[in-house]
Amino acid sequence: MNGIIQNLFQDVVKNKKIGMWAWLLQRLTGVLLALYLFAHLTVISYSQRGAGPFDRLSLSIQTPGWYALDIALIVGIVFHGLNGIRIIAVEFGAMARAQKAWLFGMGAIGLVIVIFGVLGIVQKMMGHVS
Amino acid sequence: MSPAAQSHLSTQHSALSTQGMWPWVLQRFSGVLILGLLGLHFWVTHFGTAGPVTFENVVERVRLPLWFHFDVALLAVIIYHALNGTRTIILDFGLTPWKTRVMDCCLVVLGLAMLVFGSWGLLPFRG
Repeated sequence: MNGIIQNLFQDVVKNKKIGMWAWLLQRLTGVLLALYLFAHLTVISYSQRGAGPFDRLSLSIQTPGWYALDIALIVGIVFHGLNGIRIIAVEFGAMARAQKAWLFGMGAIGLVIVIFGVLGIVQKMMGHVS
Repeated sequence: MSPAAQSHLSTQHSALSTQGMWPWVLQRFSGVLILGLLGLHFWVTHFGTAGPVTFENVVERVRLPLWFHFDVALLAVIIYHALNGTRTIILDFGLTPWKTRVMDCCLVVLGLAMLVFGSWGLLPFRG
């Protein structure tokens, strides 16, 4: 088993192919997002304890420290989603010659979305928007 | 995949051939679906109500059958996508057919449990 992992990682570490970084990060973000899902479902399940406990938990995670994690969440989702679209496009044979262009193009779009998300969160923190 | 990796996985040509056609197709289909539905979910939860997230303003939204069922459907699609993704990753490590079947059963059970857990958490918000 170790040989297989080693060889799969070879393309990332030794040969340094950017496409394999995308492959690695797609899986990494996927696993992390799945873990987030567990946490999210647990938080929501606090509703069963009543409005009081739910509100206490909910308000305690709408603080700057947790917002930083929310930003990380947005980055993870945006990367995973846009990379996913890129993968689908590549599998359909589209942009065979322009794969790297797609990678960076998606990166640019992703950056824009993340910036919007971050600005939204910062606005909320500053109390300008509810 | 690099030639070195290819030679070590002599019977396994790619993640595509091990996971089977439907998981491959549905992973992509559910992924695109999630992009749309999750975006809507994000928008409606963050900008659809005023003020910080509290029990009351979640009730405002989820009491509507449309949103309750939307949330449950979204959860189902996400659970499928997440567990199918996990399955693909584990399959890359190489499993015997029997172990694959056992894993599949465990994933189905886990998926149903998560769906029930998530829906159960939504119930109090029905007002």
